[in-house]
Amino acid sequence: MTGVLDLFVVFLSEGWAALAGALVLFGMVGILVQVLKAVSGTVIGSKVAWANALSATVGILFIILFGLMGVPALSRAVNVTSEMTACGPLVDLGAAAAQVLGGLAAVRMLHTFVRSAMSIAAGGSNVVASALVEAGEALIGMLIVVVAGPLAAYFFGNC
Amino acid sequence: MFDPVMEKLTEIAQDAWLFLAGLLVMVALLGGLFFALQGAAGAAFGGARSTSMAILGGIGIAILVLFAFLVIPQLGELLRGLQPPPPF
Repeated sequence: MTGVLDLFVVFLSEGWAALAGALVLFGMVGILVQVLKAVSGTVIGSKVAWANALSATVGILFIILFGLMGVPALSRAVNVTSEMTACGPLVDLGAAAAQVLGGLAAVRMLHTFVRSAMSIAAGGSNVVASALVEAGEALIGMLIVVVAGPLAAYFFGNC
Repeated sequence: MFDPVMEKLTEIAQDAWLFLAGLLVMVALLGGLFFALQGAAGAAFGGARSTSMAILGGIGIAILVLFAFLVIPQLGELLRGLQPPPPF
């Protein structure tokens, strides 16, 4: 069973690497789109287009930096606090399941940041809002896993 | 496992980058021509403000194009270096 969970972790790790690469790729293309918008705004003398492009560029950079630096820090913090204090086969299984759940939540959070960066590049703020709500849901799911670990340790007994 | 997908995504992003870079050059050239016309017209009619605005606009476009072609690739390299390993 733990072998299957380890396979899931490997799968999630590769998904994480792919999503991190996609975040940088599409973020850079999005910043180029915003520079094009700024140049067009300069040519036609539109200060609003310029301001929009500048704010969107800063937003994309912020989303990329938070996705690449904030999400791993959050995930590591939750994984550290979810370490089991009990022992036995069920607890080992619980620890492996908690790792898979933490990985799923981390990949989901990174996915929401990829969606956010792409939608900021395309100028859609609604998608950003819903994506950030999804990131919050994933974080709450990780926190529930943190609570479930000590509860399981309490019921199955400490070593 | 995701390498073929990443290769396709990279191809798409490269195509989009080339298209946008070409479009940026065209828009910047048209903008530069427009500002040159505006500056020449201002100079011909004695409009100092129009000429100075045209010069500033041309400088602004040049700065933006330089930002796009010099800073963004370096920024991409920097962010690619920041890619974290899986935290789980």
